[in-house]
Amino acid sequence: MKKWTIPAVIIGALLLLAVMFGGTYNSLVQDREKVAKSFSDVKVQYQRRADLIPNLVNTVKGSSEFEQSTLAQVTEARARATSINVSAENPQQVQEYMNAQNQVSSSLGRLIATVENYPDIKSTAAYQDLMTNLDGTENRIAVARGDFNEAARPYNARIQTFPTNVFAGIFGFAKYPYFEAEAGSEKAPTVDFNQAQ
Amino acid sequence: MTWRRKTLATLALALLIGVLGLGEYSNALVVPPAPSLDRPIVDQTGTLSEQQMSDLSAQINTSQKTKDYQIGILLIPTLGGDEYLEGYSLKVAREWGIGQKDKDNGVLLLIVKNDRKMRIEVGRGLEGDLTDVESSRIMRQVLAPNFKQNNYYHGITAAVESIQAQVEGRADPNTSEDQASSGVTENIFMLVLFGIFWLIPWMMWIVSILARSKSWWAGGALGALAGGAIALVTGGAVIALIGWAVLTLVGLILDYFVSKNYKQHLAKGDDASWWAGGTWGGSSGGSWGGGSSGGFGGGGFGGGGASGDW
Repeated sequence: MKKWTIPAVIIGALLLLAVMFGGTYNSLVQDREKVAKSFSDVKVQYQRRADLIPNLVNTVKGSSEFEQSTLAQVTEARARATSINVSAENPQQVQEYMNAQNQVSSSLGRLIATVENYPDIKSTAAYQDLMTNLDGTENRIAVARGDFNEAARPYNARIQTFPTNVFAGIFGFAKYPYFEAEAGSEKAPTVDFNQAQ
Repeated sequence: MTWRRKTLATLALALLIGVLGLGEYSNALVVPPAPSLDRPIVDQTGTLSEQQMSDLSAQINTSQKTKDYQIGILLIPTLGGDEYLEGYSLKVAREWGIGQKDKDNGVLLLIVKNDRKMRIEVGRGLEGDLTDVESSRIMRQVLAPNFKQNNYYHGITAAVESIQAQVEGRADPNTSEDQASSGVTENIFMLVLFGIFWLIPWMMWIVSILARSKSWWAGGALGALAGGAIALVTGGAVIALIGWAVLTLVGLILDYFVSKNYKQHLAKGDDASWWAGGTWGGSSGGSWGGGSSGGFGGGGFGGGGASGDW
């Protein structure tokens, strides 16, 4: 009887450890899913913006001799941004993705600034509705980015804290890079309709 | 009993830090406590009279009874220097948790009186019914003209009427439909966008039913039904048959996975994954979930809506 005690204890301890590890692993996976989900929310909103662009380009293009280079820049920036595959754990990819999206933002900014000189475009209902949609989308992007950071923060803290960090290291749970707040990006751009009338 | 003294000391310290922390935040604009559902209005500007507040509450409550969505209204004098309109609006909407938790069907009307700024914040579940464009139009055509003449109460009641009309799918009595002039492609585009955002909640709803139902075959049956309907409509024999088989299979597999996911999460006591009929927008303002207090339901917001000024 006695000779079975030690193996039994060892097996029991191993089982307990396995259950604990399994639990940690599963909860880490779940947490990671949550962060990944909020990253895909960010991507959904950027895609939503990308979907608005062809319409915006068409609306503007339809009217007189608009600067073609400004339009081409927006279309190009959009094409580049939508072609990038990004995984949230890869800081390099995220950086690349953000650079491309920032390109879209700045080219869009130039386009909108140029339209200021074209009252016949600016005053159309189609253009104003597009601007409202664009505003809304930019705001959703800002919200989704903030929500992502909120979700990533506790996860990052968890996988860097003992003892989970050992475990996270073995199974390759990586830290998520945060979205940096750019100057002024926390404010959604607004369009002043009063001037259009 | 030294441990007890230690605990007390720790608690006291935590309390102190909490108080100090709170003091630090007092510079920022605070979110007022959420009002009750019976009277979902907070007016910090003294613009609305007692009678007007109850009339407005009654008007809002008819919509809560018929279609079960929730509207909240907040009037503040100014945002101050530390807050911007969209950020504060989202904070209020989430902290109040307007809308039901599983439907995210809340609307916040925020009016910053002295700054002459306003925003309609739309919950994720209503973004298809009350689009950014419609929110913007309500502000430009209903609120702004009234506010310019200091007709605050009339503007707000009319705006609530317009919001109710949009959400309930009625014709808006207050805005002239200038949509017709916006071109055919624009309309088709908006229709598609609207269709997608309208369809998603319905699909989530079906999936959540499949997940919660005990059956593993309902999804297959649903797929078969959908396939059969398509076959009937299209009339094409071979393709319809293949489509029918594929849809049945997809339905079966879907049901299996969502049911499994739902059970797992149910066992853990949290919400199922979003693709398996759980909550979609991670709502953080769920503290009102109790329901017995008569507050808002904890609906989620994702930054939908529009801003305006007058």
